[in-house]
Amino acid sequence: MGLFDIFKKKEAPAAPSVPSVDAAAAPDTLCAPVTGKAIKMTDVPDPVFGTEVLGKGCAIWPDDPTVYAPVSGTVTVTMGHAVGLMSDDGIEVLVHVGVDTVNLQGKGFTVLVKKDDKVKAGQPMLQFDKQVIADAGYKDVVVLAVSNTAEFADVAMEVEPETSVTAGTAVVKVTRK
Amino acid sequence: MQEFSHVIADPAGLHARPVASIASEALKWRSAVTVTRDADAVAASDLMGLMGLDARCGDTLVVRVEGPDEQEAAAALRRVFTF
Repeated sequence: MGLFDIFKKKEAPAAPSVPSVDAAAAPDTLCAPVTGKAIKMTDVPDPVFGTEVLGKGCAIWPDDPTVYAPVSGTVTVTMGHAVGLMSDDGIEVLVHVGVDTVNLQGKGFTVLVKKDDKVKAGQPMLQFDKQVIADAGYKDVVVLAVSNTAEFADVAMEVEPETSVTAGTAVVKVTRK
Repeated sequence: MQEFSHVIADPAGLHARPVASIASEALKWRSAVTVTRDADAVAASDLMGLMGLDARCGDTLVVRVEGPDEQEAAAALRRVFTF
């Protein structure tokens, strides 16, 4: 044991309990917030998301319980089951876990970020308990929606629907006007 | 200008579903619609802005409608403030 180890220990930041994933971060690109099966927004079993009222994007039936930042930016909203981000290039992104999961009032969810936090694409933002959601009778589909879709020429899914994606994969492309 | 207030009764507060209803109704009208909670005011068409109000059960929202069709727009908007 070295003489200065005691100081090193003190200065070392607390190890993050949930590691980040490698994200294919690029301008005007949204990365998959979770590992699972990507589907079209219009196939989300919910009238609000399915009609794209909350924005275009895509959704993922999750295989894993950790949700990662789809873009680098600033946290604007945290709601237990959902996180809103403003990307560094002005894209507003809502990541919403499950349908009607608002009724769980945060039960089964651990939010790892807070409002005004700066996040990097691929950084863990929240974790959820699939079993708690299933036991409550809700679906755990993770929605990735561009809230300010109207400000862009197009927001399009970049991967084939019904295919498996890994968290961090580029899944949605935004085209500017 | 038309104005009305609404006290949130939904235990979940102003979450994604009511936000979607407010924004899609507001977009149907030519009048400018704002939603205010305390000192924070956002355009009713601003989805993330509405969610960012962080309005909870028991909070009061004030809705202001101003423009050529404000009467009809306010009446229609009242009908989506059911949460």
